[in-house]
Amino acid sequence: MKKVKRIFAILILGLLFCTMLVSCSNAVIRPSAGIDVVWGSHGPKVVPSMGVNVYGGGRY
Amino acid sequence: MLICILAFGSVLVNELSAQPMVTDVSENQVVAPETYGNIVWYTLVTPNLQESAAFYGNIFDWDINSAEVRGQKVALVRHQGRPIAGIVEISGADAALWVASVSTPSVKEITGKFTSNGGRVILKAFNIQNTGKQVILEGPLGEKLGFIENPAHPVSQLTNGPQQWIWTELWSTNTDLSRGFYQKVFNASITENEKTDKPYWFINKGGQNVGGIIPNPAEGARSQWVPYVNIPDIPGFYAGLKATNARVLLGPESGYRDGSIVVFEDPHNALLCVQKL
Repeated sequence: MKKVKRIFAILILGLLFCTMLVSCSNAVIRPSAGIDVVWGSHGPKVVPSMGVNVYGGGRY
Repeated sequence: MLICILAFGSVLVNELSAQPMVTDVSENQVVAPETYGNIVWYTLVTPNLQESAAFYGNIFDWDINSAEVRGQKVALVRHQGRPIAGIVEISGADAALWVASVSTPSVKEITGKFTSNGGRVILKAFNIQNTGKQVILEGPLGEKLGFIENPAHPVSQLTNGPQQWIWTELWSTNTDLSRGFYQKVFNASITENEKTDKPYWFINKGGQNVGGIIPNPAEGARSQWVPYVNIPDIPGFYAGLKATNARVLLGPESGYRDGSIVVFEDPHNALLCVQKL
């Protein structure tokens, strides 16, 4: 019986250990696996210009 | 058994030591009350935190404290001691971007709403101490928007003063699609702005306008949420901005709304607007 309890204790601690490893893996922030992300407002070869006649923004 | 306990203890110590990613803030600061559905936080994603921090510390009256923990570079932005934004370095990012974050009771729930309506997850939920649990999602036109659960220091773009956030607009390449999408995921009403002859819609939550949607005026730019900072002295700010390597898209000389708005790209191509209210 003592042996069974010991095995259970080891299994539970092992599970906790794995859980903490998953938590640690989030420490460095990066895009989700397999996601191709374009962060910026445009591609590297495009320089945006402002359509002044189109722009109607700003807080009112 | 002993090995397991030691290993577990070691991981726990590492986890705790990773917590002070940013320094603590004063307990007696004034923070706006949290309202679900409002934009309450801003995070700059940048490929180079050091350069971005230097730029924004130069053009605004902001104090920026950087930290690096286990290879993750982060920073907390304060104005007069009050936290107003975060900065995260993602070395693989092709450009910088200001990401507005909306207060939500459940990051998990809003992530489900977004993805089931055509959005996707860009950054899985993460937590920087003194900010709150966040996730960065992408709308159907590629625009990024954050959601933050239990924000530690919610800001209010509706009541903020000088040098702080006052507004956020979606500059959309397809306003019909955007209005339909955000009406669903925000459970909000979209109302037309009658104060301008140009197309402009308000996102209205509980009778309050919490953001805007306009046709994207930046030719060549993708759809994106663009924030505004309150600057009372536009000529002074503009003179300082022109001395940097920012790229101005709209200056006060345009005369638009009496020259009260400046639109520019920071050195890493993040779009930002300043406005005198």
